[in-house]
Amino acid sequence: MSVHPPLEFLYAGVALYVLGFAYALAAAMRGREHGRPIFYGLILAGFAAQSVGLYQLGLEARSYPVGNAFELLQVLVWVTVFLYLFLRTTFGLRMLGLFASGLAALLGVISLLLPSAGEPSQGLASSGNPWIEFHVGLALFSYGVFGLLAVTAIMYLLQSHGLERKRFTGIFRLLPSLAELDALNRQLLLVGVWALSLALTLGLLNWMGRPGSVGAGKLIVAFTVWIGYLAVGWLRWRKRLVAGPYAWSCVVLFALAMFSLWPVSRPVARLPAAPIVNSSP
Amino acid sequence: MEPSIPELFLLGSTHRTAPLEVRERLALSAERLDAAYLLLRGPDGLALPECLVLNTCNRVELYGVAPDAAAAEALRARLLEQMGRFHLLDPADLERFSFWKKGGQVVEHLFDVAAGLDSQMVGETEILGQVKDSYFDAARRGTAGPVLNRVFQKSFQAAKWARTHTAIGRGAVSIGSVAAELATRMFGELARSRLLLIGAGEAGQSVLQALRSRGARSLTLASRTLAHAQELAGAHGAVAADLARLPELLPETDIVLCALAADAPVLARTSLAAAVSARAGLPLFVIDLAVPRNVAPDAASLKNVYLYNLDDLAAIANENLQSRLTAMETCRLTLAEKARHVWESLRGR
Repeated sequence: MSVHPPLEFLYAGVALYVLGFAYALAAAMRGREHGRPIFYGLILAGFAAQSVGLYQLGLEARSYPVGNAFELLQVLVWVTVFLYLFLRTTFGLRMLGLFASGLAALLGVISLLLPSAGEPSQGLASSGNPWIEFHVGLALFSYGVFGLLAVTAIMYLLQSHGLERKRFTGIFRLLPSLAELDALNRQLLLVGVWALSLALTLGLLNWMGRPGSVGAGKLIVAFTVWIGYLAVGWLRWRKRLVAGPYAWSCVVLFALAMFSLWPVSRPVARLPAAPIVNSSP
Repeated sequence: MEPSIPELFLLGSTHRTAPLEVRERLALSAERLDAAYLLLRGPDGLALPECLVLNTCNRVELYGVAPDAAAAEALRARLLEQMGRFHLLDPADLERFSFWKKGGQVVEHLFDVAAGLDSQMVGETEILGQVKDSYFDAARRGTAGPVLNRVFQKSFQAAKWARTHTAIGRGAVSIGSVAAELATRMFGELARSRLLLIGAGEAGQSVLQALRSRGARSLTLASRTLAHAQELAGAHGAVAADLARLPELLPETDIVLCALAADAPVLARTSLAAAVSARAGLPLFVIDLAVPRNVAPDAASLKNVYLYNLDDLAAIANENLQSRLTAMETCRLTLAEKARHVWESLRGR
């Protein structure tokens, strides 16, 4: 059985993320942090393979390869890993690699199990409009940020649980401090909300130019996710939603955002170019 | 005639062989250390080709190299006699409170010392720094030659191996360091953490010292009376307060250290609930070192209040110690193997 060439790279990418996660998890179970050369070797190799696979899909579709749920998840995984590599370099948080690779492996495996995995890519029907492509790119970027936010929120909850239950060994003593995680969670939420707000504004401008080009379902779901994160951000800023409940909200919202990808993804592929936002300067 | 092979030897006295009173007499001040090197190296002394003194609060060890095995054995009596005289001790007493090792045994012992296996607190890391300092001191004095250079440099590698590959140095094993590690898990860097010490019990002092050694600076000291608090605060560079101010101090505090001799709790669940609610999600670390306890036990169920009493901290310290002891035997065997290789390669040169 022959596999569509870009898929070979995407399969390899996911396999390498799974291996990276398994390696980091095995080390954590022994109460140690993973060895960096092996872990980063696996993750960077996975990232490179996935980049090649997505690039080839993009060439075939002549646009962003986000024509179905499989491709959407693959791009989301790519964004998440990219952000992780950036955050790891900037913040140097311990154990972030274990959890980020876990999310990448999970979403990657789910994407490969979807019926749309292996279907020919259709990409964005409106690929001629750079504003739509920018809108999609920003929206996926914000979802990647929210994905990492969910990861750091889970790390916060684990650390808090370990401290409450007086757990001192294994993974608990390797996790970053509550203060570090809380600070990062606030920054990630801020970045994610800004990116999603901008993405939705661009989408809205296109929709106003061509009313009816986007289904009501997509609009409702997209704005519900946005309002959800906005509300959490506002409550956090007002210090009414803090610590554990704030972390839980970030995890639950990301799960909801993931479910929202299906209704959001279908109209994206058929989204027509809107004349109101012109690509020319 | 075959050339003679230099022999490594060690005369040492540690917490394993000598009581504190003897170790106090053997301890070397900076001036005494200079004199000891003169005795070991000088032409009027033992004239050793290579020597090194490892001098810490728990051990004084003299590492030396003799021209050959017979010379090393002959040196033993002279060394005991001269060092006995140096420390104003009878050589027989010095022999009783010390140990003598030669060749590969010395390398094995040094590896154990550098890795913290021979320390009073198994796996502690301070000793490696002390071994390094002693080595650099000897190198500066020009008393470390080819044999000691190789053996000590290999001991640093062995210590690093032990720390990386075994659980020998993992986990805090004293109440103070456990508390400091917990505080780090909550607040990360402790430089900005604000401490409140209630009472001035001895246990509180050691934990306070551990927290301050991790960077905690801001300290308020509360006692029953302001006068008493002021008296104690002066010694710690802290701000003084009386217990009546606790409700206003708690929301501004990250780490509360309770060590007050009191028959009933001084911190009720309601006071901590009010404090944590005013802290807008910041955790509050409460360490109750007092017996009877200073904090109402039901405060442990408050969200964002992490309450640890003496038993909790001791249980964690014991668990970590047990894990270190379990790792010790494996570590010792591997280090012995590494030491044997180093010694054989030295003998084969």
